[in-house]
Amino acid sequence: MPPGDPAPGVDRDDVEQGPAPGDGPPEPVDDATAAFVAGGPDGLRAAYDAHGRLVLTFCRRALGPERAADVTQEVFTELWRSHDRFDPHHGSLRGWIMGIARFKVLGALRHDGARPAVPVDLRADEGPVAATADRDIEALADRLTLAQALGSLPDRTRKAIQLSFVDGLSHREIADRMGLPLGSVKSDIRRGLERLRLDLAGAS
Amino acid sequence: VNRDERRVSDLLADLTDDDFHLDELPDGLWERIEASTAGPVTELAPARRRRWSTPALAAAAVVVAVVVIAAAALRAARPPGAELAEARLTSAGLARPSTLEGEARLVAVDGRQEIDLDVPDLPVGSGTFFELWLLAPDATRMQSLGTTDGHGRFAVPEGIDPHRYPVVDVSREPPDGNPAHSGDSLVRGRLDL
Repeated sequence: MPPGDPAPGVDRDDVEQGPAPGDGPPEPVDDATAAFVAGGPDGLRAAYDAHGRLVLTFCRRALGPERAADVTQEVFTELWRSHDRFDPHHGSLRGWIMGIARFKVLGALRHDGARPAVPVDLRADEGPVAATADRDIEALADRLTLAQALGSLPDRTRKAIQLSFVDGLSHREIADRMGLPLGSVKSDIRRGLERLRLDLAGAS
Repeated sequence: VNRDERRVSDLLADLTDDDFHLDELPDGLWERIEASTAGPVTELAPARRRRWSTPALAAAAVVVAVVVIAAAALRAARPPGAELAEARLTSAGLARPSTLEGEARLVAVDGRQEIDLDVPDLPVGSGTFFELWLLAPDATRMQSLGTTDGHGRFAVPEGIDPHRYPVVDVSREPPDGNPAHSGDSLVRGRLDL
């Protein structure tokens, strides 16, 4: 083995292709994230262009078509205010925006019920109902976020992840089907999961 | 990693075709967002904690400076007892756009200041009530002038300088005993002090 060979369990192509997860951003941020971090109205516009439809769709499915645009507006207004708190090292812009969207949607649902947002321990009498609704909203946000995150993965990575987690194939079977070395399949899947996790991290 | 992997794999298994379909953005939505983020007076969120972005703070500071200078000039020019200022109230830039509108006048009566409010068509009697506020330009400080049905005279408390609180705001409040602003503003406008 050459000097500096990767630790057990780490594929060699990880080392050839870049730093391991945890050493900072796992990869360069996308254009919208870079523009948003840079700040200003153009950055907000870039975030809107990249993720506005996701937010609008989430709001429409959670709150109905009448209020989707209003709450989407609130989400991006809040995004503008929260600019300084966003850190691309800790999660993706998509995840960050969807975290705001969940907060706004849950707040709108509280308001609909003619009840203010109160600490959980004060609404014990309606806890189970509220908790179920909250979980449904969280699950919806997660699924929509994940669907978009999948779409932004490289084709090969997305296919490997779908074969593994949706179709239930083993890494060896995926390697055979895709005509790739086993190590490439493993590192594709690990890298892809890391990116998906980052998208969900900001939303949890 | 395993827990994250489990979470992602569970979610992947739950995805439906519908989850991949995104709505088209409606015309005008970006312009509304732009309007609500460009000015120093922005919608209040229910959460009390707030960090303002540097551009918003800078914009607010400019507006405060302009208001102070303009107020000093107008104060020197206006006779006492006259109508001091007025504000056109609309839902522009608020989270809940509507056709509601009205006006507020700041008047001096016997050395005190009052707000004369006229907002027709408030949806009265729907289990909520309405409250009149004066806000600082950046909406970080506010003073309640009391509950309202959209009409009437409201005394500006001693020590509350409308030059520092020039934004007139009417909110919808839930009957929850919480004296703080609900964040649900219906109309708003700035006094032309």
